[in-house]
Amino acid sequence: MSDLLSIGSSGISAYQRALATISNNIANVSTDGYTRQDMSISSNQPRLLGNSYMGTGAYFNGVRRQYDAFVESNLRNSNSALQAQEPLLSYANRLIDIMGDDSIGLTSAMKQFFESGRDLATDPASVIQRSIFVRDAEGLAARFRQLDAQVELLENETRQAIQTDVGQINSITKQIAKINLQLNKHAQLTKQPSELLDQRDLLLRDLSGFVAIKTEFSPNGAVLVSVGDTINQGVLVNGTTSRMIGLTTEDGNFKFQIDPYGKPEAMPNVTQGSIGGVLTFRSQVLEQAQEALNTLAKVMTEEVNAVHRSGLDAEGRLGGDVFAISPSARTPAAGMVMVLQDATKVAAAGQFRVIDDPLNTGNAQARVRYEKTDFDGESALIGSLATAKAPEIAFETLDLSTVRPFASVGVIGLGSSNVDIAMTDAQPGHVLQVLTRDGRHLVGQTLTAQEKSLLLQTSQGMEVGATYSDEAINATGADTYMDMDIFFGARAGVQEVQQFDPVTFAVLAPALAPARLIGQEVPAGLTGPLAGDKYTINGVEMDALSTAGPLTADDLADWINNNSQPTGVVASVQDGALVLERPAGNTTDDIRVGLGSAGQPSDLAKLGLTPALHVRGAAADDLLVFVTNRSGASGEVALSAQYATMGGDVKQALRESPLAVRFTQNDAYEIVDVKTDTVLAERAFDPTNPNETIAYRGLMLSFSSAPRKGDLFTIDGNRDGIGNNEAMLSLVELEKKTVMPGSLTITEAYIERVSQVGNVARQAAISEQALTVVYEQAREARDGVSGVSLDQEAAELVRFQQAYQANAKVMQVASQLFDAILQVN
Amino acid sequence: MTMKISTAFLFDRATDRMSRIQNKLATTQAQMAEGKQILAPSDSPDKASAIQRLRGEVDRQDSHMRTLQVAMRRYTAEETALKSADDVLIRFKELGIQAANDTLGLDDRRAIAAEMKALRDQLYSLGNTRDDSGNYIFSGTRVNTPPFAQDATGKVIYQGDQTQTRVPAGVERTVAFTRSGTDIFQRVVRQESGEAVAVSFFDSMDQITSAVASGDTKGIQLGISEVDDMHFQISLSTAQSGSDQAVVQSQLDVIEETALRLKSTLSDIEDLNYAEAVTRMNKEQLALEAAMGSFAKISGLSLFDYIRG
Repeated sequence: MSDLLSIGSSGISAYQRALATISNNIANVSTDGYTRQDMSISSNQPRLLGNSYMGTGAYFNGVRRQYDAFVESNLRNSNSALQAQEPLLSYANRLIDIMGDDSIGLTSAMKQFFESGRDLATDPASVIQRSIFVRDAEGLAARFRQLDAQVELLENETRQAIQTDVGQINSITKQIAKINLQLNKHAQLTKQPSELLDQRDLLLRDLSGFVAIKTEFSPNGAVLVSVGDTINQGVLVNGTTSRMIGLTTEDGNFKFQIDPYGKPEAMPNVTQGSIGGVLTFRSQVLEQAQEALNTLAKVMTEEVNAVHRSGLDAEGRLGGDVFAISPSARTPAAGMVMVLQDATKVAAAGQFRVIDDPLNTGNAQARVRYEKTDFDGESALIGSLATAKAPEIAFETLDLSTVRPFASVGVIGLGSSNVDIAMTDAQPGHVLQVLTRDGRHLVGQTLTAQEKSLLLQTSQGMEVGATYSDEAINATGADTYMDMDIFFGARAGVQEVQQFDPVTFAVLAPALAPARLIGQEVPAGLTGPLAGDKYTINGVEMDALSTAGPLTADDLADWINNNSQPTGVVASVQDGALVLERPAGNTTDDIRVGLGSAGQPSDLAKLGLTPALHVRGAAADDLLVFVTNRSGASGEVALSAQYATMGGDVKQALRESPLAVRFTQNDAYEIVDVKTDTVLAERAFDPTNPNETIAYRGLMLSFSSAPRKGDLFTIDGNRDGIGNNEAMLSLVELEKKTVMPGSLTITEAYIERVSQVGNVARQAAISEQALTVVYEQAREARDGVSGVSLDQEAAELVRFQQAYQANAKVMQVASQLFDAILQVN
Repeated sequence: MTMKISTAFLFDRATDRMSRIQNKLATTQAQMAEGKQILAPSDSPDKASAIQRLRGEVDRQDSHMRTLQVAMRRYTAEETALKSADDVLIRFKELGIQAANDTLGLDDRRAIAAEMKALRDQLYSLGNTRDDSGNYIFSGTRVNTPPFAQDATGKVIYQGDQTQTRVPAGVERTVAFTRSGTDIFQRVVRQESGEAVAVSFFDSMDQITSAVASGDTKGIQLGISEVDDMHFQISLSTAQSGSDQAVVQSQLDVIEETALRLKSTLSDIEDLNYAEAVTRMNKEQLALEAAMGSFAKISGLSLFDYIRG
């Protein structure tokens, strides 16, 4: 009966181990990643006794992990998805709290800036209001910088978060590789220590929090980990080797590389896990917020500066920049600084003002503003002529057709000085014409009806509504347009002879010599008589040269000398060419051989003189230069040009010369230059159009109601109107101006950006809620399989304890039976 | 078979739930302490941007209101000056009529002329009135320059300009702000040998005064009719100033109304509904107590307690 004892003892030892397993479960009730262990007890091999098999007891068959690979992988995936939302939500919320906050956000500073602008507009002369404005402008620039710094802080934080996460991943993958090494000791999963597998699973779960992973298990439990779309892409752990993730930054963007020092492999796009969440926040929220902030800083700086530059400060000086963006700064928003420091330099006043004459009979109140205008047509001299800055001389040949019988030579901009444009080979019928943008004809021959219709077009650079006037054509002296020195013909100035000190060779002031005009050889074939009304010398119309037949240079010299008295010029002949001179001692007057009322450029060429347009001093207005073709045949015109300076500041020129707008009729007005009393424009006015605006070289004049005949409005450069608030009003208008894309104001664009960040945060919050439920379910499912429940363990404990006790009883019975046998006899 | 619930999970879930309720309760408490529905912009991003927009609007109304109050103060200063000028001119005219009486002796006329001179000086100083910021109110935009000054001969010259400035007073609305001195102390037009000649306000007054002093009846008569014109102009300006004030006042009312409306909208969004918050807090408190109580009971249950050793 020894079998009874061995059966009992086999039960004892089996249940001892079972109890140990349960105790282990109880001991690990709070251990992270612990998988509940179950055991199996099997019956021993039976023995054949006679003709029946007898059981021989039980044995402890082994410990089994309560594990479900599918549930575990579910938990990892849901963890990756949930972890992606958490940083996105928390960082987005922090960004909103920064941008939307009253004390750090932009709206309050912006509001403050415009408010103090408005207050300043009510009292532009007040030094206090000016100082407040400067303070609040400084506040706005500072707010941009602070806001940028706050956003930059988030940038740094997320950068560090990613760096830390990558470090963690690298450490986890190393540990997994080590576990794989230990697992390799056994070929079968069932032989593996349960705790080792628990550790493996815990590490995998931790890893899934940082980045979404794919896994493949070998029969012995060793795991292959990858972050790619397939298991073979982006492998991080393969058997006993782990591959680290390298992190570099390029232009502020992260670049992930797997195994950078071994076999580098580009990291697939990371969207899940905490790294995915942070990356999403950076690319979808942070970058855009930073970009928006930078755009706002740039637009704000540009717009405010543009308006401010159009104003005048308390001392009548032109307004400068208010803000600047420091080029060395990290971003425009970080580099936004205030450059205007002095309160008196706040430009509140307009650069132009219009004064309604107190004697006006109409009730119109005029408003003036300046808007830089780009006219159609040429913007400079045509072709290479534009490059003819002295001492260069440029040449250009233009085609003249008969269908469109004119060619544009371009524009001599207001302020250009000492411009000469010569017709080097003047043909009969080719006439050089100079007009202003308002059709004031200054040089040339009165336009024909066809020429007017061709040239007086906005496409040729004319103002809208320009009308033609030849009142000042070829005028000299006091009659010239705006007292400008503009002349067409052959001209020679007073000669300047360079002088040097004979001892030191220092350059001395040049000596002056009388003007001397030297022509070219008088062309052959010149025949008389010459009409007197074709030529002028120094403004004096010549008598006719009545000699018929061929004329020589000497004939011409005699003809000119006959008029020496009024013209002040003596002619002689040198190498067959005419030479005209002022008498010795006259070192003030130049020589001008011009065209009479019937003269053409080619008439001067006949005498061996080069007809040219001469603008001495500065051009008082934009001059449009054309060559018209009246020859009836197509041809070309050869031109040469030279100038000292080209173009100038139109706006400041307008400020220098006050303009008067006088209504000659209820529906017509003229613009007059006040200094020279020159009529600059005569145009029609539509009194029925409430928005009728008068535009002159960028000045825009509008009226509260239609002016009446005789009404006068004077526009000037507002030298002393310290109480003028026009520029400040335009600055305040910026608050409502839709300067940002999508017809938004600057403030609206900012608020829009805040609410976009808000939308991302809200979506993240919703996703997080949903994903939390999924994760909780996965956790519950995993716990349902692998978790330890003390109640369950208690029941098991009781069960195995009872089994143990029963087995012990069996052994006792066996012993008693043995004793009983011993006592027999 | 029902799913097993592990002990660790049971505890974890219970603490999770309780801390969630506790969080809610803390938020409600903070809302009540602040009196605000939204504590941080992240609580409700869509409402946060609406709040920013509305606050901007409210502040803009306040700023417009300030502008209008400045304008109002200026109009008041203007009106006071104009009313005084009106009184002075009435007295001036009375004196003129009195002087036109042929029966007056030289001394009487001199006495009248002396008073007229004093009245003219009074008008001159009224013309140089300043507002409470120290700006001359009748100088146009040359607010730092006295509009009227006397040259060496005692002739009054105007030094201001004619620029009309306006200030914004609400959406798409501006009010006139500066008035030029020549609009108020306006020239009179007199016919001289068939030609219309403009004579400045103070010149005309000076001429009447000397006419009175010298007993030039014709000059006095002309003067009286010119004073009528001047008086009319000042009355007109007073009326204009009054109507400007009325416009500004009505604009002020509009702005106040708008600000009130905006503020109440803002309050609807931003401020806390206490009744709702208190109810909510009670509910949350109850939930927390229930969660705590039930957890204590459930977690106290353990099979081990029933196993007798």
